This record gives sequence, C-alpha cells and structure tokens, in this order.
Amino acid sequence: MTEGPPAARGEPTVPAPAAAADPAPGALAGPAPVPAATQRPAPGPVAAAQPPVPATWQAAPRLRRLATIGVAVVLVAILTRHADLLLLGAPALAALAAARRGSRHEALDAAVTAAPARCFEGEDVEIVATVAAPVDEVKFRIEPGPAVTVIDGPVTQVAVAGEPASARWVVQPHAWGRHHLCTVTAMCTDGMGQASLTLRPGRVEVFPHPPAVRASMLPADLLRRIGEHTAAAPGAGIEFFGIRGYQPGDRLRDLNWAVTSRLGQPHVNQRAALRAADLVIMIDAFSDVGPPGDTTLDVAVRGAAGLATAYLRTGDRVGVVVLGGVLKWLAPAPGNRQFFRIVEMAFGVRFPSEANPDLDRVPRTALPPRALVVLFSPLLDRRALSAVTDLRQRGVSLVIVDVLTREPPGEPRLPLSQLAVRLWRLDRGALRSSLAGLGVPVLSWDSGTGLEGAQAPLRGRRIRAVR
Amino acid sequence: MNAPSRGALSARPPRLADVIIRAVTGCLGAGMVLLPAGQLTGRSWALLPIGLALVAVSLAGPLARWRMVGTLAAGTAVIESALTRPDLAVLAWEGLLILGYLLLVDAPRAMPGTVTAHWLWRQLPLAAWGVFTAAIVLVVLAVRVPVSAWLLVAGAGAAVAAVVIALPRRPGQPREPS
Repeated sequence: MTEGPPAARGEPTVPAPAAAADPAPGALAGPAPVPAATQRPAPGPVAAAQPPVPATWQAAPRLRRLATIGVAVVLVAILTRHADLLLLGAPALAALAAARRGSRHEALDAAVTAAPARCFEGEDVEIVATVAAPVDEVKFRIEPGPAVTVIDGPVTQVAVAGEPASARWVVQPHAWGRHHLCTVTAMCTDGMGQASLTLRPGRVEVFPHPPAVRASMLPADLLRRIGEHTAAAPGAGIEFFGIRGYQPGDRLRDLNWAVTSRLGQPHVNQRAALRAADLVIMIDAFSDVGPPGDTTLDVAVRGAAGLATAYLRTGDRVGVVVLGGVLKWLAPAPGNRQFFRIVEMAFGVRFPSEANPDLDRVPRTALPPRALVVLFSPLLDRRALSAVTDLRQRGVSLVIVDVLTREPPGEPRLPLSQLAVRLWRLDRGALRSSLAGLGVPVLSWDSGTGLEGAQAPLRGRRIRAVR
Repeated sequence: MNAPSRGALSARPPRLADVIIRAVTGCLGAGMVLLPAGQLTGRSWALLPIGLALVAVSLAGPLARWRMVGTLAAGTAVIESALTRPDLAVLAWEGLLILGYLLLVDAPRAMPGTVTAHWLWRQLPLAAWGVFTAAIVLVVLAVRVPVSAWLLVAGAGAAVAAVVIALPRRPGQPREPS
C-alpha cells in the first residue's frame, strides 16, 4: 500500500504554521543553533476546551465514614444493651445530619487547556484546569503522559468554595508527536456527594528538537544548481581549485603572479564551483523499540529534523520518505516551510503494519537519482534492509544512520542470556560489515549527542552512489 | 534525551499546613484510642497497638489512600469503649474525638495555608453540631426520667415528624399559562 504526499493525491494540503513561512534571505545565513528563531512553530490556538462534563455523583467518603461509625455505635449499643454508648456515635450522626446534601448537577462546567498548542521538545506547556460549577471542594490531580514531566505546580491541588476552582501546572514534553500531554482528574465534593471528572486537554503538537549538525555529508555528484557546497568542478566560487593558462576573458585579479613569473606565461587561479544538493531523508518506521521518548523512531525523527534544518539552512532541497505501514513521501523542496511539512508528515508514522514498502512507487521527483539519501533505521526489520537493496538499484548515494544504541537486556539468572546477547552483537556486527562491504557507510548515533560527531567518519569524503 | 523519572514528582517537601493538619489528626486519633485504654484487660490490650497502628497508617504511608483504614481506626476505639464501658463524660469526649478524627482525616493533602484555613472553617459547623448533640445526649442520659407512656408517644411522634420533614419533596408542576 503506497501513498504520496497530500498534494500529489489531490487532497488538500495542511497549511503550514504562520511562522513557518520562508524568512528573508538573510535569515538563512549564519550558523545559528537549532531551532532557529525563524523556525519556531507558531504557538497556535490554545487547545480546545471540553463541553460540560457529565458527572456521576456518589456518596462522599466522609458520608460513608460517619454513617458507618454511627450505625456501628447504634448496633453495639443495642447488642450490649448499654444506651450510654450512643454518646460515641451521636456527634458523628449529628454531623451527618447537618451536612448539606449538595446540588448534584448532572453535568459540570469543567475544562482543561494546554498552551501553547505547538512547541518543541523540552519546552514549557502550561496546563490550566478549571471547574466553574459551584461545589464545596475540588481536588485536581494531574497524571502526566509518557515522557512528560511536571516541572511546576504540585501534582495535587485543592480549591475550596469561595475561591476560583482552578489549578495550574507547567509540563515539559520530551517526545515529539501530536498527543495529549496529561490527564487531569477533578474530584468535586459538594455536600455529601462526590463526583470524579476526567479531563484531557487537546492534543499538542510537539516538534522534535533538532540536534546540532552541519550539512557536511554530500554526494559525489552535486546538482547543476547554484548552492553553498564546493563542487569538484571549476566555477565561480571562493575556494581554490587549480591553475591553468590565461585565456582571453579571464579577470586580471585571478592571475597567479608567482606561477606566471616562474613559467613566463600568464596563469590564472581557478575557483571551485558552488553547487546545491538534494537530500532525501528516509525514516524506517517499521521498528520502534526503546523507552518512551527515546525510542528508535523518536531518535530517527529527531535526526531527520536536524539534518533537514541544516540542509535547508544552506539552501538545499530536502525531501523525506517514510518507510512504514503506509509509504509516504515528500518531494525535495527548499525553504523553512519544508521543515514543518516534514515534521507534520512524521507525526503520523507511529503505527504498526505488516505491509512491504515498494520503493518503485516513489516517483522520480521524490527520489532524484543524484540525491543523497540518509536512512535513519535501527536495522531490525528485514523490510528496511530490502529497501536498501532497492536504493542500490536506483543508484543513489546512500548513508545509513543506525539509531539502535541499546542492547537487549540480559537476564543474569539465565545462563544462556549472556550468550544470546553476544550472538546478537555478532549478528549486528555482521550486518554492518555486509553493508559496509556494499559501499554503504553505516553511522551510529544516539540522540544524546549531536549528529555532528556521528558524521565524523565521513568528514571530507564524498558519498558515491552504490551499485 | 531521557525523560526524567516520575519519582521526582513525589519528592516535594510537605507543606507546613499539611504537617500541622496531620499532626492534629494524629493527636485526635491517638486520643480516641488511648482514652478508654486505661481500663482494658487481658487480650483486649491488643486493641491498643492495633488502633494506634491504624491511626498511623491512615495519616501516612501507601495505605493512607485506602479510606477504610480511618474507619477501622475509629471502629477500634468504639470496640474499646464497648469493652471498658467508661463514664458518660469519658464517652462524650470519646465521641467528640472520633468526630474530630473522622473530619480531619479527610483533609486533602498539599493544601496551601490559606486554603487549609478556609477548609477548616468550613468544617466548623459540623463540629459545632457534634458538640451540641453530644451535650444534649449527655444531659438526656444523665437525667433519670421515669417511664411514661406519654413520653413514649411524644418520642414516636417526633420521630415520625422528623422523617416527614426529611423526606425529599417532589417539585410542583408549573402551571400552564391561560
């Protein structure tokens, strides 16, 4: 089952956030750390509030306690025929009788909001829960989702009648995606009745935090388009390329006076051309292993976001192909808007599937022949390995970034456990060696470090197409 | 980018108001268990550590969320009193201690000082009604009244009237505009 980008399928495309529009040309220059100010997602509207929540009232624990003790005392007094014991339960029964029954509304006006509705990983999101109904006491309790941390505000907050029944927390999501950050339980007590409301804020779009990286991985053959990468051909660039004899039309400022005086013939310096590159990022979404917030898919999307940021900043075109249950792709395009398109496509990759991707369905525009393809994969699923074979047949320049950095946990009590882990290590080593034998560089990267270090083995080397 | 552990959430130091509330609740609970304990004999002494342990568990620990613990602690005090049969004054104090303990053991955790004061102020009417009722029952039990058929009829009538007053009433149907 294959699927193209929404525009290619004739579907309406999702409008990119307002702040994602292409900035002024000057904004692209400079080694600004990611995420650059021009690439911040628009805060978006505050996540939508819920309509009145239906409430199921039941007896409050206090009512049960007082009634239990009162009835127990009366029974003991009757059984022991000792009326004086009624003094033990009389205050409890009096308090029970004096307590209000409570207004038990069928639905309570309660809501919880999350603001902003779009943010990067590790940024603060404010959660505000309110109960507008007139009740005696509201106890709010927040239950953060996986990979979400409460950094401000006590987990349980109480509001009593006469005060605004609201609670505020600040949370930090540590996993990208479009998800509910938390669940808030509001325990409303009114008189001797109690109702528990479960509130969830709207989904928040958490963008992956791009790691620091530079656009240093380049294919051997760059495009004929002007860019910022030094090509292996003479042109109108900055870096020195070579020396040749003077030809009519050459600029005098290019004359190499040392060589000219030594050889007696005029020679000029040649400069290397500046060319652009096409980068296609492939994300292997077949496997997703690891703790929440740090799964292999989380790491892969973070790396993809980092590479996309770096190459888009240098004016290159970046596209993406997601190898998952549904084959999705986005043709290479320049500009910061493309970053948000890529991330929004990545939001929908997390679901299991048994389908085999057929890269032949990816159009030539989405996977140009001279593009550099970087595959982020844990190398666990054979379908991803067969995709590597397909890419070799297409003759693209391919780099694999292995995002699996954790070994399977060994069980010390089982004697064969350590042996199994060793076999697994050998298997992984053999796989990497076979890929390296095919001419495909395999890099290891953990999201805890910058992607720059992972690229070190390829520094100063152009990646050639493998066949 | 590992997510911080959830254990950090429970590492907040308790608020002063929360500590005070818990301390007062503990004192009330210990008082209701210890007050009749002086006259315990034989195996009934086992109720004393059981009651104190239940009071302690109801204030802190993983079982504090189990609401039955507080009820069991108060029930232990009732059984102690039933076994020892102390004087009326002691029983009245015991009833008030039980009421105070049951009211405070429900106090929500982690309330700021102002919220705690407001919450305590709202419990005051219930406590006042408890004291008032204990005083009335104490007087009724202390005064020896001769057996009278008229008194029995008056009591039964009062009970019926109380039930009639307390029963919920059906709201009247609104009249159609003519």
